[in-house]
Amino acid sequence: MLLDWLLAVLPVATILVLMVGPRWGAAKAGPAGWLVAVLLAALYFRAGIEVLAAAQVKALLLTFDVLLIIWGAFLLYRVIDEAGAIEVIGESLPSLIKDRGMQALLIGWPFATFLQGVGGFGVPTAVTAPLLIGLGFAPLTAVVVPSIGHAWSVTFGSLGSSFNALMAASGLGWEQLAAPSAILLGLLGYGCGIGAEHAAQGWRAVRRLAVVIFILGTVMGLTQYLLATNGLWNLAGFGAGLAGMVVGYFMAREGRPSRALLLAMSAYLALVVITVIVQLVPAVREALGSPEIRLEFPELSTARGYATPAGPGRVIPIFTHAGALLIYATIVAYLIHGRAGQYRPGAPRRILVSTITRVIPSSLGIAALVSMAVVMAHAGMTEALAQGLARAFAGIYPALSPWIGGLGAFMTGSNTNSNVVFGQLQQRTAEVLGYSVPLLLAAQTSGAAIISVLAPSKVVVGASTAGMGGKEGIILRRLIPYCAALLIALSLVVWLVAQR
Amino acid sequence: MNRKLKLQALAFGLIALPSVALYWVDPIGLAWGLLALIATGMVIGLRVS
Repeated sequence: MLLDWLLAVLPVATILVLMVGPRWGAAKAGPAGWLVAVLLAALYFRAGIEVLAAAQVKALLLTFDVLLIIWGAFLLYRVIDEAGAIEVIGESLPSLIKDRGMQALLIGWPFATFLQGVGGFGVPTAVTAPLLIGLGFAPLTAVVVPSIGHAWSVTFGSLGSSFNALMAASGLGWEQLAAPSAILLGLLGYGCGIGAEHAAQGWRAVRRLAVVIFILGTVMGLTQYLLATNGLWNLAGFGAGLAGMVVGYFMAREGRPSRALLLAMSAYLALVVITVIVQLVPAVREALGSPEIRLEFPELSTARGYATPAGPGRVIPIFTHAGALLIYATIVAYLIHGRAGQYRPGAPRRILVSTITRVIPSSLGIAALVSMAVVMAHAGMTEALAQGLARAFAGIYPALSPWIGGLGAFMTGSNTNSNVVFGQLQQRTAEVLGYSVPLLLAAQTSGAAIISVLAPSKVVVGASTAGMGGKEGIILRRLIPYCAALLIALSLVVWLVAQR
Repeated sequence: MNRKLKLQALAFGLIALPSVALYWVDPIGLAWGLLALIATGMVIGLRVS
């Protein structure tokens, strides 16, 4: 039994060691993890070719499901950024708000949340750190403030890609997962606001702005909860950031938004309208919903007797998928900014090239990590891991759950990848121990969201945009106490709720 | 696109396309062949990333 567990943990350990030790990226470490997983699945866990082949096909469906959003989100972001809209949004905020504490709070928390909602991939820190430096904050502070501030919104950020990965990995829908995830992340949101302000100006500023932090945290947390639990999970992070920006603006405004700012925000408004129409108007949903990718699989068994029940793999509705909505919004955004004359010659090519350049490595990494996770699940390796964890940590597993999510995010560089690698493991362990599966999956993704900001790949992005290249260790040391405090608080909450 | 990205794109293609084909393949020998292609894609990804 112990040998089963040790061998089952080997692919995950391979990724961990390679990403943390020699600092390999997901696109390099992922394939290594897959190779180890397939060899062990075939030779020790005795998964035959039928199991391995079906697992690989299911993995491709999952990969496609996750990548559609990532490709669409980055394409939309580039279409808007190429028009100079992101810059306009960033430059408009400081001129509307003069108080330095409020500037750091609004740029490092709601605005970083908004950027995570629409872009992700390190965009919040990359965009806001130079802004904060421009306002006179030290480079280290300028990186740390938005890094902490956006952490709570990572799961529903990138237009819900990490949350989508959680659903894909577990097979559960937003109806089960949205509420616990939004509640845990909403609570963490207050901590992120306090942490961001503390990193910017210390406890004194936190006390001075306590009411503002409470109001913004409540507004953003509630907005995220309401959107996520009504089927608009892809807009939950983005909507929360937008609500925080609007409320923050009215609390601290010393000017009026310009026409340029309103134009810069128009593409996001188009995304909101498109998503609401497709998600909430039944006639539109039915008209677009019929073409879908759906593959049926028979029951699969390994020679050791581990069985996976028959059923379809991930079903992908082509025209109502969150990735498709992003493409519609991208087309509208391009038309709006094009009509306003905001594109320089050669813009389409630049947008396309930068998007492809950016998404190829992450696509490769996600394909490898998803394949590894699905092979492990079908070979009974995830089951062996879950049984071992359940035995060793029966009483305290709920408190451990966010740390496993966090570990996955740290080693794979993203909340999405962590959910793919550990989603099924957390689900099976919760089932074996009799805990609420949605609660522990929410704990998984919340822990992953917080710790994802410590991932070396993200820290490198923040460091490079703030002119701190090579000083990543200093940034990491400053971030760790905030993330550890948030994770400890999260563990305690999950453990207490799980005892009910 | 630089050489590294082209090779990463090739690796992704070698993982994705045989994975699609695996769904419709019956003979076991062919399935092992496709799995070997996927493994080749993984190795290329590992080497060039």
